[in-house]
Formats: sequence, structure tokens, C-alpha cells
Amino acid sequence: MREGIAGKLAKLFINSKLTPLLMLTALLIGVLATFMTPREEEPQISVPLVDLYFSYPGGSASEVEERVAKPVEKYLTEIEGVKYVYSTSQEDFALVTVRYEVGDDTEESMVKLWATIMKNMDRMPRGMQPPLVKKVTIDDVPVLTLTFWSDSYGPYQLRKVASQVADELKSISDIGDVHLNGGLSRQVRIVLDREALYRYRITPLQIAERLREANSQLTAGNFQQKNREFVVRTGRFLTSADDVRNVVVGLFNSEPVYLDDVAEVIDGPEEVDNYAFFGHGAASHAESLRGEYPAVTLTVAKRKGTDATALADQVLAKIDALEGSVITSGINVTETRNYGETASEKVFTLLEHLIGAVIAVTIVVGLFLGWRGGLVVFASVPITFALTLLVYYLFDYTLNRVTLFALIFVTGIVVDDSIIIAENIHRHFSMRRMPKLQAAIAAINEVGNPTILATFTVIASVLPMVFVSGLMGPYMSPMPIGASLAMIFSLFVALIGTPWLAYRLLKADEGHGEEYDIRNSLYYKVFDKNLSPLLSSGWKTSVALGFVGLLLVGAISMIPLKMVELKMLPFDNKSEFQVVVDMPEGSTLEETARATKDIVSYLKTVPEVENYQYYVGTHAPINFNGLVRHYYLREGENMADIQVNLVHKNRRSDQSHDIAKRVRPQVQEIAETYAANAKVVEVPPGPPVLSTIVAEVYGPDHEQQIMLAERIREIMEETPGVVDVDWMVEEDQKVYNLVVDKEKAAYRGVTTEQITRTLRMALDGSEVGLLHTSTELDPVGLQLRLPIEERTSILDLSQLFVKSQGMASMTTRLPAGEMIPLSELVSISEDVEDKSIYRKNLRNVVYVTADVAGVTESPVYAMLEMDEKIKQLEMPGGYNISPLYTSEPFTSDRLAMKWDGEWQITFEVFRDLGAAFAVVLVIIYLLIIGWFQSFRTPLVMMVAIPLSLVGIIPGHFIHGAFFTATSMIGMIALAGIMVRNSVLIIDFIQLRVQEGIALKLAVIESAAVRTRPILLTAGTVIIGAIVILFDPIFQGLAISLMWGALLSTVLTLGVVPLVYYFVERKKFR
Amino acid sequence: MTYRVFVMAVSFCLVLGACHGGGESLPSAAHDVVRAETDGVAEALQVVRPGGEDVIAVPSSAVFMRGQLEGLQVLGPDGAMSVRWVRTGSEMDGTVAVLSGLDAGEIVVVPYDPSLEEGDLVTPKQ
Repeated sequence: MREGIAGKLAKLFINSKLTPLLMLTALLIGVLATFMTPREEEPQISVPLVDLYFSYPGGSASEVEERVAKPVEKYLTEIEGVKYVYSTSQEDFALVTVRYEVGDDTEESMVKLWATIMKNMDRMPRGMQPPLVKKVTIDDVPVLTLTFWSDSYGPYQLRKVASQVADELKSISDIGDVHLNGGLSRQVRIVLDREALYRYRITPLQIAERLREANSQLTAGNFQQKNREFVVRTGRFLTSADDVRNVVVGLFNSEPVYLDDVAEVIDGPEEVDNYAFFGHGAASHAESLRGEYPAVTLTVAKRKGTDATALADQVLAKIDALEGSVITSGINVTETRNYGETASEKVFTLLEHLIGAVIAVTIVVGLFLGWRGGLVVFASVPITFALTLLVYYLFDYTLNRVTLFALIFVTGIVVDDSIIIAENIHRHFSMRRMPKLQAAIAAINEVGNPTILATFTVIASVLPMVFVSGLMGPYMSPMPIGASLAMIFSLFVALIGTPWLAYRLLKADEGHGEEYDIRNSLYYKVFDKNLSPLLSSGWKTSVALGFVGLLLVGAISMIPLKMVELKMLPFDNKSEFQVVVDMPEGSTLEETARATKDIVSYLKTVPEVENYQYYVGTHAPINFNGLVRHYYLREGENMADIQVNLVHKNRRSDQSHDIAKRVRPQVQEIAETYAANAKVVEVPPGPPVLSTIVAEVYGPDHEQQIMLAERIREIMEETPGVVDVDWMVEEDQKVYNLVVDKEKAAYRGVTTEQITRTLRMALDGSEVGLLHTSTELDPVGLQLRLPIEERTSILDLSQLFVKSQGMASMTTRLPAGEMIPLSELVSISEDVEDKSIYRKNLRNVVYVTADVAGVTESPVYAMLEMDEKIKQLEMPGGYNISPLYTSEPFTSDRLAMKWDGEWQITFEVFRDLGAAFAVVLVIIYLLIIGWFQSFRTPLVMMVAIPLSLVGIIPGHFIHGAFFTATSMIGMIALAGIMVRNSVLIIDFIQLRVQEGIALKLAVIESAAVRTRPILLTAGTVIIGAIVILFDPIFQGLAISLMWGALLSTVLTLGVVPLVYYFVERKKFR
Repeated sequence: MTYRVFVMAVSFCLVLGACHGGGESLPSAAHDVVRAETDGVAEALQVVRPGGEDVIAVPSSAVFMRGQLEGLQVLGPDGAMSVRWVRTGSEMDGTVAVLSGLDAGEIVVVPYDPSLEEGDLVTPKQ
């Protein structure tokens, strides 16, 4: 009897008192770890993005591109670890975004970035400020948003209250950023009276100067007297509107002119620059759905690594406490987002499923091995998981969908080690050839080593998936790591704990009292009948194998036949979606509000909508999608966001994706009547991208690129299934250029700066300082501006004056003090606003974006369809273009197009998983060679792997599901599991042959003997997988495991012994 | 024994199905259509103000304030009232210029009637 490690370990622990103690401790620590580990719904996808904001006032878009964007991109691309550099150049401003390789240390990357920027500041145009550097992290996404709305109060009061509440919340531990969306802040508005200004001969610039001078206070020093020190302070800050009114701004007829004489000073809300409303949807139980209420939303983010649920609960408790005091009656507070709650829910559901899987598996085992056998197995699984959860806690993993699914999917496999050992012990007990202890050790020795090998093949088959690169890497890596950990722990439990339990629980007198002869069992009879004829005849075997081969080909062909479609990840069932509304450039805030309100009045009638908030002229609270797509920059008057909250998934039958599909046509129809573009945006299942379908158009000339982009846009709109088509080229916006006649201005003694500043003040308003109040939480600005009625006729510049500086301007001999109307110094010309220029990785690009829904859900098929049409387009210059899929165009002298968006990630993931699969096959091959010392045997064993496809692909077809990244994970993991079956069969054959049995008999016996444990293994894998079937994202994994295991097992039991026999029979003759 | 397995599998699947199926039915959307009457309406007119500006004007009494927001009650082609948020400019002769949010030719309720609700079908009193 060969004694391996398994036997030695078992001997050590089988009668030790330490064993039950170890098992109990492990269990307790694990349970503790479960409660202490923070929970979230998705793993933290670290998106290594950094935004750099460069300000270049006065530059046109192309100037900004040349002077700022291009040089910056060049030196940023040189930084190690930088994968992509995107830039947007607009008038006065450039935004450069850097994306790093995933997994790079963030601190180190930031330091490198800073060093490089500082080093290159001398290459920037003179006088340019260093950029604003903003690192984008997932922790910026608020986990909780509360909307304050009221029937009686307006946006100003709401914001005031919300601001107060925000202040109170800051004292909560672990709280991150707290922001407010919507509402109007307090401002002291100094509304200029043009006529009065003229009458008193005061200019707006003068007022600004006087205010600045008046608003100063200094600690002048201190002096000592009579042994005490006195601090002296001079000046006085402006602390109230009255203070502001009494500022002397000039002299007229030797009398002081007060600000009150030439302007109206209003202390109150700023001018309306956004609209934000809250409303109820059809699914809420509100009495009336018809109203909408001004709203202000307070958003709360959490600190890195902390638990969202705990934070959310604390905030809500605080809000409750503030009701009635700070939150006055008449103001309602509604929770409009709570990721802490959804995380908790998800985690508890998964834990429930985990327990369910364990119980189900135990029942299955019990059916085969009797209740005692079931109990043995039942005791070992929780210990394995407890240890794995402990490791999760120690390594700062959180409990989330991916880490828990890693455990659920290995439930079936983890159990196997214990099953095999328990089953064999049971078998040896039934054979009654030896006393109990020896029987147990013998049983363990027999299967111990193949069990260890089999465990390592499973680990080998999941571990390479850790190396998936890109954004999906950190998302998926807990799966292979969690699964591997569970497998290792299960091995220890199987070798240490299971023997201890089995020895005590399993009875030797199970069975029928006679000596157990395999030849009498049902299995043997079945195999004898079916395999023997095949074993004797070569051509019958070939026919049988050929038939199996045909099944395989048929299964694989389902993919090109589109019976099973490929998609990276399917949509999850969430309780929210967004509608992003873009009106044509040049639309006013109120026009945008009108279009948005129209869309909303449809949305509120959708039966699953609980409530909605919409934000015009400002952005909605950011979610992960918004972070990467820069939605937080959406502050234009022509932009609006609608946040739609659905009722809880338990109270509706449709999944969120189906609801989004359903509302899309109507939403877009309404938007079209306003010439607006409305997109229905859902929470992405994996890493967020600019859009599901992105066409990047490259080329030598911006005009040509736009032309091609237009054609591509048309093609997209014609293709069924492609929706939400948009492009990032702005509409023409009219601009009035006020051109200063410099010569005339100089002659009259007026500087250009005077003119530009006066114009700015009049139109846009200038903040000339702050009101120094001690009571207000946010700064209160003093804003100088013309009243709104007079800003419509800015073209009538004869009413706006500047004062000549006379000889002080150094350009004239005329006396100072003359009031000159701007119309004499400025001429108006109409123009079109510069369009933004986009660049990616040092090339100019025009983006066309779209989404897929309806006819096809996977972007790949739509892209392939559109390819045909794009290839037929004729370019100026007479050539045709062929869309690129995986890399950017090599040269930029011709027009070219590349598909990006979700496809890019899909490609990377499947490519990496495919590579991982190849590595897996090689490792398994090597492992088996190591054990069996043969080159041919492993190949025979690995026949089981392709057989799984016969089940996997048709299985997807039966369920009507997509073949996704998780399906592929299932396929790869299955390789290791199915190989184990072959290992068990062939190992037993070799054992019996060594004991002297003929090959043919050994083959049949092995198949018969090993059927029970193999069926058990398959059964537990399938049962474990059934539990996962209900999660939309991991459904693919479940289908792969279930059907793959089923078909592969059934086929393996026949095919592997057959093939082995024919390969080896010459050797054993 | 295979029979036992079969029964277990079937009952297990049924149990799983029962756990996840079923849910409460959603409340049906309230479709209350209210008919109302109002004192009067006026059409938004495009006028030329002295000073030469081209504005869209409505009677000043049609404008109401909700906090700092200025609104009008606009009647759609089917008579349904909806609140429209607007930006107003200068007043003259009892009319106020609407700078944004309203098109010429649209019908507004004059004077502002607080009893009307969004969606009401409004007919002017004769």
C-alpha cells in the first residue's frame, strides 16, 4: 500500500483531539470575519484617471490646441504607465485626461505626473498658470443622496437648509465629500442703474475699485501699555447690505455719491442659473402625481475602504434628529439613492444563496452516501468558507458580488475533496476487509494523491484568470483568488477534518452484510453492457467517437449561426436609470427646462417609476458612469439630467434594462420635437466607457473628419438595434464679437482693458469681493452686474460708458474725466463659436457614439453590420476605408475609423481569458505529466475539456442567454473540474492493472467504480450552479457550469475509458 | 434511488422558483382628469418696444413667483395647463417681456390662478 502525504496527514489527525478544536476555531473566526468585512455591491474598480484643467483666457480653440493641448499631451505620453491621453480644446480652456494602466500605484503615479508637469511649465505659454489636477476615484461617487423638496419654499431657502444640514453631517466619522446639487446661493447683487451712472458720471469700473478698497481690514500691529499688549485693527470689512450701500463711489458737484445712488443693492438669492425639481412617479403612493417641487439634493460620499451601509445609516439617523429643527416643517427629505442599502441587501442575498447551495449539495450527497455521509460533508464546507472569508478580511477585500460568487460557484467543487475521501472510506467500510481504522487509512491513501492533484488542477484552471488586464482585471480578480483559496482550504479540511468525522460517523455495517463485490453493482452491469462491445471492436469505437465529434462541431457552430450571441456582460437589474438631455447649443435655460419637463411628464406615468429628479443647467449627482464620461462638467444652459428611481425589484416583474428599452422610443420622440438629443443611460454592468458603441474618426483634416463622421452617423441611425446616436460635434452657436477700435480708444484716453472689463461686468457680472458675515456657511459674493432687462439689448452700447483717463493713459493729451459711450469705441461682428477639438493619443479625433437595444443587444453584431456599409463609402481622394477594431491607424494622412467603446474592453477581456485558457491547458498538461509520468495519458485526460462545450453552448441557447465573460470563466474553471474525472478513472485503471487485472476488465471496472463519485461531483457542481442562475450578471457562469458539467460528465464516462483503452492496449498486451 | 434523485431535483427547482417569483402588483397610475374654469386667457404677443427691441410680451398679472423662480400657466393645444418656468425682462404698460421659455402665440392664463393644477383641462369663463 503506497503511503503518500494524504495517508501520513490522515494518520496524524484522525485520532487527534486537536482536530475538532481546529475545526471549531476556524468556523468561529470565519463567522466573525463575515460580520467585520465591509460590504459593497460591486468591487472597487479603480479607474486610474486624472483630469488636468488648463486655463488659457482669450485663446481660440485651435490656439489652445496648438499652444496647450499638443505640448502637454506629448510630455504626458512619455510618462511610464500612461495608457491613454485624451484632450478637449475649447475657447479659453483645455481639459487633458490621462488614463493609466490598471494596477499602478496611485500615489506613485500622481507624483510622477506632478513632477512632469512642473518640469515642463517653462514650455507652456508665458504667464500660464499650472493646471488644476483632479484625480478621479470611485470614492467621489456619492453613496447616499437626499433630496430636499418643498411645496412652499423656493430654491433659495431649500439650499440654505440643506447647507446647514451638510454642515451638521461633517462631524460623522468616515464621511467623505458632502455636496449640494441645485438651489440658489446667497449673493449680494449690486444691480447697476445705467441712467444714474451717467448722471453722476460714475463708471462700473470705478465702483468695483471703490468696493475693493472699502472691503479691507488689516491687523495693523500692536502696542504695549501698562504691562498689557493691545492689538490694533484698522478698516472694517463690509458685513451687511447696508454697509455696501453706504460705500462712497465718487464725487459729483462736490457731494459724495453713495453706491445706493447709482445701484440697487439686493441681499438675497443669486440670479436663477439652474432649475432642479423633484416629482413622484406612477408607482409611488402619493396622492397626487401632478406636482413638481423645487428641490436641492445633498450628496454624501464615503471615505476609501469604509463601509457604505454604516455611513448611510448614521447619516439617516442624523437627518431624523434634525427634522423639525434645522429641517423646518414644510420641507420633505426623500432618499433618492442609497448604495449602502443595496450593498447590504445584495450581500445578504448572496450569503443566503451560499447557505442554500451548501444545504442543497449536502442533500445530494446524502442521497448517495446516506445521511451520515451527508453530515460529514456538511460539516466540512462551512469551515472551508469560514477560512476563506477570514482571508478576505485580512487582505482588505470587501464582501461584494464578485467575491461572494467566487465562493458560491466553488461550493460544488469544494465539496468534492471531502466527498471523494468520505465516499472511498465508505466503500472500504462496506468491503469489510479490514478493521475500521486501517480501512479508513487505506481508503485515504488510495484517493489521497489523486485528490491533491485534482485540487491543483482546479486551482490551475482558475488562477490564470487573475491576469486579465485592463479595467476588468480588478473587477474579476477576486473570483480566481477566492476560488483558489477555497480549494486550498478544502484540501486541508478534506485531509484533516473529514477523516476524523468520517471515522466517527460512518458506519461499517452499512450495506447488506455480504462482501462487497463491484461486479454485482448496477453500474458495472450498465458499463459492461455498453462499453464491452465497443471495446472489442475498433470501427464501432470510431463511429461512437465520430458521433461525439459531430455533436461538438454542432455545438460550436451555434455561435456563428447567431443562435447564441456574444456579449461582454449583461445588464444587472438596478433600481435607477438616467436620461441625459442635450438641447442644441444656444438654447436658453428655460427652453431646456421646457423640453425636460415634457420628457418627465411621460416618464412619471411609467408604472415602475417611484420618483424622479431633474436638473437643468447643472448636473445630477454623479454615478460611476458619470465619473468616467465627465458628466460633472455638464453645467451648460442647454444641458439637463433626469434621474429616474424605480421601485424595488421585488415589486416589479420587469428588469431595469427592459424598462429602459421600453421608455427609450417615447423619450426620444418627445426630445426630437425640441430638436434635442435624449439618451437613456443605465448603470453599466462592468467598467464604464464613453458609450457602448464609439466610432473614432481619424484623418488629416478636421473638416474631412466631420464629413466622414456625419456619414457614419447616418449609417448608425439607419441600422436597427442601434439607438441613442449622437456625436461630439457641437451645433453652430452664434457669437457676437465686440471688436475694440484700439486706435480710437487710445486717442480718447481709454485702455482696452477698461473696455473689456466693463463689458464683462455688465454682461456676465463680476464678483468684486465677499461679504464678511460670520453667520453664513458658504461665501457670499458681491456681484456687480446690469439688470437682466438691460442685458438683452447689450447691442445698444450707447448706454454704457467708460471714463477717459486722459493723460494718465499715456496715449492722449485730452483731459481726463470724459464719459465716452462704448458704441464709439467698439464695433460688433457676428461669428460662429469655435467648436471643441478632441484628441486621443496625439491624434485629432471626432467621436460618434451610440448604444444598442432591442433587435440586438450585443454591440459586436451591429458593428459588423455597419462595417459593410462603411466599407462602401467613398472618401474624397477616391479610396475606401476599412474600420479598425483593435488598434489605432498607423498613419494620419488618410481618413480612418476605429471602433471603441464596450467592444474595446470586450476584446481585451476575451483575449486575456483566451490566453489564460491556453495557459491553463498547458499547466494542467504539465501537472498530469508530473504525476502519471507519461506524455500520452494527459492528452487522453484532457479530452474531457472540449466535451464540455457540447453542453455549454446549447445550454445558453436553451436559456436564451448571452455568452458573456462570466460564461467564459465558467468554461475555463470547468476544464480543471472535468479533468479530475478523467484523472480518477485512469488512475483507477492503472491501479487495477498493476494489481494484475486485464486492461479491458480494468477499464470497465474503473468506469463502474468511479461513476458514483464522478456523478456526485457533477451533481454538486450543478446544484451549486443552479443557485447562481438567478443573478443577471453571473447567469452565464451558472449555465456554463451546469450544462458543461452535465454533458461532459456523461460523455467522459464513456469516451475517456474508450480512448484510453485504444491508446494503451498495445502497451499492455 | 434514481427516482429519489429525480423527485428531489424537481421539488428543489420548484422551491427555488417559488422564492424568486411573485411580487406585489404595482399601483395603477392615477388618471384623474380635472376640468376647471378660469377667468381669462391671453395670447403671448410679439411686440416691438419703444427703444427698438423685439420682445414677446404677456400681461404682468399672468406671472407668478415660486420662491425665486418665475412661472406662467400655459395652456396646451388640448387645453391642458402646464407650468412653464420663464425669465422676465422689463415691464411696460402692464405687460412684461418674457426673455426665455415662451414662444409667441402661446396661450397663458390671466391672471395667475393658484387653484389650477398641472394637467387640468382649462376652459376660460365666458
